Amino acid sequence: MSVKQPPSNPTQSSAALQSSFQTLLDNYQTTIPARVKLIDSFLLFIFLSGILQFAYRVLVTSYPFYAFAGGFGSTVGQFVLLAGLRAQVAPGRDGEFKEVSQERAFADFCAASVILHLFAFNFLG
Amino acid sequence: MRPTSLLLAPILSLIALVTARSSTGDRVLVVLDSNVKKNEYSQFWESLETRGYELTFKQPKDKDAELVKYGELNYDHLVMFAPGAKSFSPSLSPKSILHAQFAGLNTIYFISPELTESSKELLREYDLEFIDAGSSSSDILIDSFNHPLESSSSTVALSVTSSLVQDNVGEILSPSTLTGGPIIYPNGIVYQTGENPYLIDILHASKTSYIGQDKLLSSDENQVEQAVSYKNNHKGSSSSSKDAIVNGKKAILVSALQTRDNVRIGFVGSTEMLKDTWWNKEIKTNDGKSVKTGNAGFISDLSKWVFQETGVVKIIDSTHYRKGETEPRELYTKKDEVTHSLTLAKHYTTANGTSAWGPFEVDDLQLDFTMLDPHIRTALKQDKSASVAQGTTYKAKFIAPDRHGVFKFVVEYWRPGWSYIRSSEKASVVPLRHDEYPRFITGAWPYYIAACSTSITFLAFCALWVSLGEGDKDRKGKKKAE
Repeated sequence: MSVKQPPSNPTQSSAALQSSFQTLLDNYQTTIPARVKLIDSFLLFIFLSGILQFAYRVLVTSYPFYAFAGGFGSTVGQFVLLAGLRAQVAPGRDGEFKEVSQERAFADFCAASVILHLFAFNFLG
Repeated sequence: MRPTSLLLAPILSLIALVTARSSTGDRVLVVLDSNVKKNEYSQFWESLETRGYELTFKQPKDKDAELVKYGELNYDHLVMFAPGAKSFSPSLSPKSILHAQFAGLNTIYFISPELTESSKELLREYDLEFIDAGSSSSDILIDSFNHPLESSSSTVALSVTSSLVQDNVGEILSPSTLTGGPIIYPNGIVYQTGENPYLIDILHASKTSYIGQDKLLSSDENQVEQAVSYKNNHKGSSSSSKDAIVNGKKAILVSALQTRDNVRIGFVGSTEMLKDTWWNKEIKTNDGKSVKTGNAGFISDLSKWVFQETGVVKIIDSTHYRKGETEPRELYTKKDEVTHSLTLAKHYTTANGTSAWGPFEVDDLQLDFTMLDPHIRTALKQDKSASVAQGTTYKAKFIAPDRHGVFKFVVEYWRPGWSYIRSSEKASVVPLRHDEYPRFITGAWPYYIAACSTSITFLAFCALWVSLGEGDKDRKGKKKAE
């Protein structure tokens, strides 16, 4: 993407910002494969869930701490695992993870997630 | 049928006559000094006998007057009518009387100015302090303003409104005595009651009375003058002596004591107030009016109280249970709703002279749920729905504290004039058993939902991944080929 010229007035700048977002979205929609989009939406969901849980813990109650540890741990762990998967399957990372195939990465992710969820459910009490 | 009932009726009425009204027993030992004329007090003995007591008269030196035999009381009540007796048989010595009182012997001491030093020492055990008269040991209560017209000023007429302790003495005195005629107190001794919280003052001296010797006032003026100046000089010489001047409310004439075991002891400062001369007799007061004395009522009330006829309260039933149950438990779980119920009954005498138990209604009963300290202190409220034939039921509901240990339900009711009530029951408060906790905690639901949603989304993700992968194959193959 080319770097935009600094805007001369606010209306022009907001229009420029809008157009740049538009390009970003267009590029994202066209160049990113469906699987990575899936990962991204899952990441977003987990991110929101984690924020909600933390807000609940701070604002309402932290009484069953092990339940919080289970729920929040499950979201954080899942986020990390997903990020790892994304790093391995996103385009442009072939050089870094040459030997790891997409199937292998997905299998690793699945196994790790199952173990993580088992732990999380144990923590819930 | 008819003749038998006709025969039975008098027998039954006889039984009613001899049945004691006391809640403990009807055997009375009267220890009479040998120089006391029994006939002069006939009305008093008669009043006791009509109330159903079996009187046994003994002298202080009688060897066979045993209070306790084989660890059992031989008599339920004791009337000590021997203030002047110098020596007692071993079984009636102050020590054995105190011993018998620990075993439950109710006692009335009739004392008079000729009280011996050994008897004073015994009475000091109860925290009665006698005014140390020094030279003259026979100082008596004198009131020149209030006495029956025909009698000397040593026969003090005490008005019931100003001399009787009016409030907070339970049922010691009946309302008729509290509003009746004056109480005649002839040749009586004066004492002070100490700090002993078990002592109850009943009758105190009037404002215009003083302690002195009667003969001064009956002699001629010069002698009086002389005696007074002698007294003043005497006082001046030992002004810092411990001679306490007592009068009014501090000068006690009749008092009573109730121990923690509900043994009752009465102290009457004048033996002559029981005499037939003052027993329900008309007297003329200073202002010429003719009134009936209150002695009979007063002495009867006091003896009824001491002999456990009035002011006696007992616990009929005491229980505790969890909400929805009726039986007491040994273990209560924390935060259980526990009810403690107590039924009390008051002793009274029925019209035909028998002993009976009836309701006892008070509004200041309280329950302590204690483990060393009271963790819960709550009012026991009268429960009118629980109908008990003889007695009143009190209930208190509370939530068991979140504190584990052995607790006691303690009810203590200690009011002057009433029996000392103490009930104590043990129960433990335990935490929830491992399977009694709630499976899910309400506050943790967001965490449960978060964890479950993550897992479900994970499964959905896997499914979508696989399905997307199949559609994507060509593109990927192309990419790889590139």
